[in-house]
Order: sequence, then structure tokens, then C-alpha cells
Amino acid sequence: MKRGLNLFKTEDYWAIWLGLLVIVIAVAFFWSGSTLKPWVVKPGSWSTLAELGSDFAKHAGGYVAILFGFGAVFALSMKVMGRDVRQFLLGFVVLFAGALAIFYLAGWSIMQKADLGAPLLALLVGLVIGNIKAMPHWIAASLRTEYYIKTGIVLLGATLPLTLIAEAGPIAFLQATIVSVTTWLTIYLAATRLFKLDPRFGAVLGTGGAVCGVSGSIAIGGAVRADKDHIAIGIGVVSVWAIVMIFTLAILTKMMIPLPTVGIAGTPAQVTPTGAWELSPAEAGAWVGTSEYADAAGFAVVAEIAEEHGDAAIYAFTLMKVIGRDIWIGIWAFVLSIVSVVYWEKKDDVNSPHGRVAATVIWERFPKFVLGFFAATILMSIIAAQAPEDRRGMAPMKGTFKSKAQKANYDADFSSFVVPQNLADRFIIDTGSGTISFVGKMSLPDLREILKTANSDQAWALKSLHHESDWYESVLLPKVIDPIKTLRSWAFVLCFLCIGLSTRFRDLMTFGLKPFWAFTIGVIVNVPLGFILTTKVFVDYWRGLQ
Amino acid sequence: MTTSERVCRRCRYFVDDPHAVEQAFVGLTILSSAWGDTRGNQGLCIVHQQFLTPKLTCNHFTIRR
Ligand code: SF4
Repeated sequence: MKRGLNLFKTEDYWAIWLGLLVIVIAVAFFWSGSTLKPWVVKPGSWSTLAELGSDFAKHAGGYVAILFGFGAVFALSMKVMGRDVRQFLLGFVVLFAGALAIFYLAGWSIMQKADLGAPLLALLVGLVIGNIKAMPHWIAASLRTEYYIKTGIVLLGATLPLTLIAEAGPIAFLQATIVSVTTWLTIYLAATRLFKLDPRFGAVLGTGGAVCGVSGSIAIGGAVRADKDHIAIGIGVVSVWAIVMIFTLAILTKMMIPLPTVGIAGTPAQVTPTGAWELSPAEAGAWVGTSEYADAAGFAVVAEIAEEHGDAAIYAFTLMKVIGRDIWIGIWAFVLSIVSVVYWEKKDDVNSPHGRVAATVIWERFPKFVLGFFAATILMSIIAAQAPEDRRGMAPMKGTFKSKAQKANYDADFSSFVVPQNLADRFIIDTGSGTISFVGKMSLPDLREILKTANSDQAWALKSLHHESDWYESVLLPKVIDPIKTLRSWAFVLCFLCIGLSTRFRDLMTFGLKPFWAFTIGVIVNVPLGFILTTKVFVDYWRGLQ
Repeated sequence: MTTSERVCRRCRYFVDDPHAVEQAFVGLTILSSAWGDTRGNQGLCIVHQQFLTPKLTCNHFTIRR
């Protein structure tokens, strides 16, 4: 296959093109003075059928736009990859309608009281339907779990600050390496020494648990020339455990993260765990990143956490799983291919497949979509750095303060307000126009200083001004980042629904007890090790991540 | 045909079509894909029933038509 064509022949590259296209369109709208926001929507919360009906009527145009936008690019990619576009499109329309129904179900007040978000609901509903009835071919054609999650991860890149990768990336890599090597050795030794399984089978199982789940098993299976049956069993064991861990980790982490509080600026404050069994959202994400086996499965957990606690869990998971574990699969493949040739294979048998695996395998197995994730992060960091230096944020003296944590109407009188001396040249009161303004970005210490002499109504106005003074928060976030996040949510829910609909436990559970127990021993070591490293050894890094 | 051309990638017993790979491994699409780079150009040898990289060879090599 020619290199140029390669750029359009795998889902990894298509996830990059689709993700970057979305980001470029969002930025183009922004620079032309507009925003994608009216067209990029997802259902809100509701408690009566009338509310549901009005929400649907309000957003119907947006749903059609997303269906056509995603559907067109996915269909084009299917055509180029040589697949049946008609079947895909038929299935995709049904899948999209299913995702929409899941969003509405999650927005129902009863589900919100039950603390069930769209990610877990998509998985649960999918599992029930998928295990009652096998999906017809035309729906199965649209169940592309990995394609959707890769697209979501590229979009996620646009929302994750580059500085975060620079600061926490090395720690994530260190922790992930400790966990990956320990887990791989545990599963491999249990498989080969305890249960006397073939070493290549042990390597397939070990990589599935230690690096990147089913994709890891496949990548290593080829590198070590594993038997077809061993890979099939590896897929079954890893998939079943990955799904079990989605629910286990989601329930545990949701119980262990304290409820969010409100900070001085009226936005959700950083959660500070106090007990030994309490976690911050970022710690939860890092733990899931070390103890889940597949990207899609792990994202189901952290996306569920993010519904209530914000994106910190998603960021920590991405650092740990995608950057800390996934991108090293090529190196694992190369090293294990050498070990396989030197130690595990019969020598001088020309009837068996033979030949060396070249070092090019490091690049060939590299999950290319990660490049799109980095490109999106860099692109958005450059745009975020374009904040006008002389920006003057402005807020009305009478209005409504609204954040994710608080909402309040206020009517403030600033006629005799005493401005702190050190901020007097930046804080402007214009009683004529009924506004207050601030030159440059108001920091939290600045806000704290001004609030000292403020009454309740003045405090709400000042919190509004604090928000308006931040170009990223008040302009770039709502107009560019939020629409990208909404599309990311769609890609994720499509993915989680696919996991459920394509999982048939009866077909998967055909493995014997030996490989199952070898993998289970790895789980028993991996889960507490991930927890201890996250909450004890590297706790300062994860707790500091917001 | 040179030795370097007698490789699995050109062998009729090598199944590397992504659709066929997904058919061969039940459950592969639940959390992964044969259209991804981690599977890449690896395939299934139906003679040895092994999953292989495409540049290997063996005495059973038969040119793909
Ligand atoms: S191992 Fe031999 S028979 Fe199998 S695909 Fe390669 S060359 Fe063909």
C-alpha cells in the first residue's frame, strides 16, 4: 500500500481528519465572529413530557446537523476504506437515534437522582439489548467502537491544555510504566509457570492486561506469531474483564469522590479528599488509567465521573492510559518479537513461519490517532495564547450570575464602593452605563481582595466581572471549546452504546479457566497497585491536577 | 521470484483483509478494530492458524492470485 493512500486507509487516520476538521470549522466560525454553538447541541434535563417535547423541538435542527455532519464524514471514510456505505449509513442512523434516546434518558430527573449518567446508561442499555438479540448485519456495520472513541480522543485534545501534558506527562509515563511492567510480568508468569500455558499465549494475555487491551493482544499476537485460538481467547478474557471493570471502577470511584463544593469565584471548587478512601476526580482518572484495559472501557468510567465532577478525571485518564501506556505498544511488539524468536520458537523449522520482525514495527503499531490528539492540543494552545493583552472585561451592575455551581440575580450599587488601592488603576466603575470593568485578567487573589469590602449583590457582580475578565473562560470556552466538548460527548456515547450492543457474553465466554485465572491474578495485582501509586506515591501530582 | 518476495503478504494463505480478520476473531470489534493501526497489516495464516506480520515466510508459500 502506498504511503499516501495509507493516510486514508485506517480508522486512526480518519479519526485525525474528522477531529481536526471539526476543530478547524469551530475556529473558522469563531474568527468570522460567529460560533458553532447553536448547531452543536445535546439534550438538557427534563422531568415532564412537556419539558422533553419542548427541549426536543428546540434542539431538533442541531440533532439533524450533527447526524448529517458526522454521518457524511464517517460514510466517506467507509467508502474510502472499501466498506459498504449503504449498510453503514442505515445502521448509523439507528445508532444515532439510540444515542439521542440515551441522552434524553440520562437527562430525566429520575435518572439524575439515581446518579446514572449517559455513559453508563449507554453501556447498560446496549448490553441488555445486545445480549437479548444479536444485531442484524446492517446495524453491526455501524458498531465501530474504536473509530468513535479515537475521534472523541482527537476532539478531547482540543480541550486539554498543552501545559498539563508537559507537567503531568512524565509522572503519568513513570506510573504507567511501573504498572504495565508489573502487570505484564504477573500475568505472564502466572500463565506460563502456574498454568503451564504457551509463553506466546502468556505474552498475548499479559499485553492485553498491561498495555492496551484487545488492541494490545492483537498487536503482540502478530509480533510473537501467536496461535489464532490464543488470540481469540485473549480477546474474550480481556473484553469480559474490561466490561466488569467499567462497572466496578465507576461504582467505586463515584463513591470515593467527595461532592463538589463552590469556590470563591462561584464556580465548582477543587475537591480535596480528606479520608484515606477519598479521591479527587483526577486521582480517580489516574487510577482508572492504570487499571482499565481498553481506551473505550476506561473512557466510559471517566466520562461518567465527568458528568458530575468535570473533566479532570478525563484528563488524568488520558495522560495515564493514552500517553502513559498506549503509545508504547510498538516498543512492546518489537521487544517481544525478539524474545519470541530467541527463546519461544522452535529453531530450524522451515515449515513454520520464520523471519525477523524489523524495528519498523515500532512505528507500524503506533496508534496514529494519538498524533491527531497532540495536533489538536497544540493548535488550541496556540489559539488560547491569542488573548488580547489590553482586554477589558465588563459586567453589568444588575443582572444574573450563572456558573455550573451557582445561579443568582443581583442588583448592586457601586456608588460608594471602596476599590483596593493596588487595583484602583484596573478596576473601573461606570455608574452612567451601569457597568463595572477590569483591565486584563482578574486573578483569584485580585477577586479575593476586592470582595473584602463587597456586600452580597456587589459580590455577585464582581464574580461576573471575574469571569468576564478571563478571555479564555468567557469567550473562547463558550464559543469554541464547549461545542467541541459537546461533539466529543456524542462520539463517546456512540462508542459506549456500540460496546454494549456488540458484546454477547455467550459468544465471548468460550475460554478455559487457566487463561481466565492467569489474567485474574494480574487484575488482583494491578488494581491495588494502581490505587497505591495514584493515592500515595504520586498523590501530589494527581491531586494538583484540575 | 526472489526470496524477499516469498513473504506472507503475497501468499494466498495469508488473510489480511480487515473484514475477514474481524470475522475470524469473534468479539474483536467490541473494544478494538481490524481497521486500526495496532492490527495494521498483520494477518492470519490459514495453514498454520497463526497470526503473523506480513514479512515472514515458510515452505508452504504459494503466490496470491
Ligand atoms: S506462513 Fe507460509 S503459508 Fe502461512 S501465509 Fe506465510 S508464507 Fe503463506
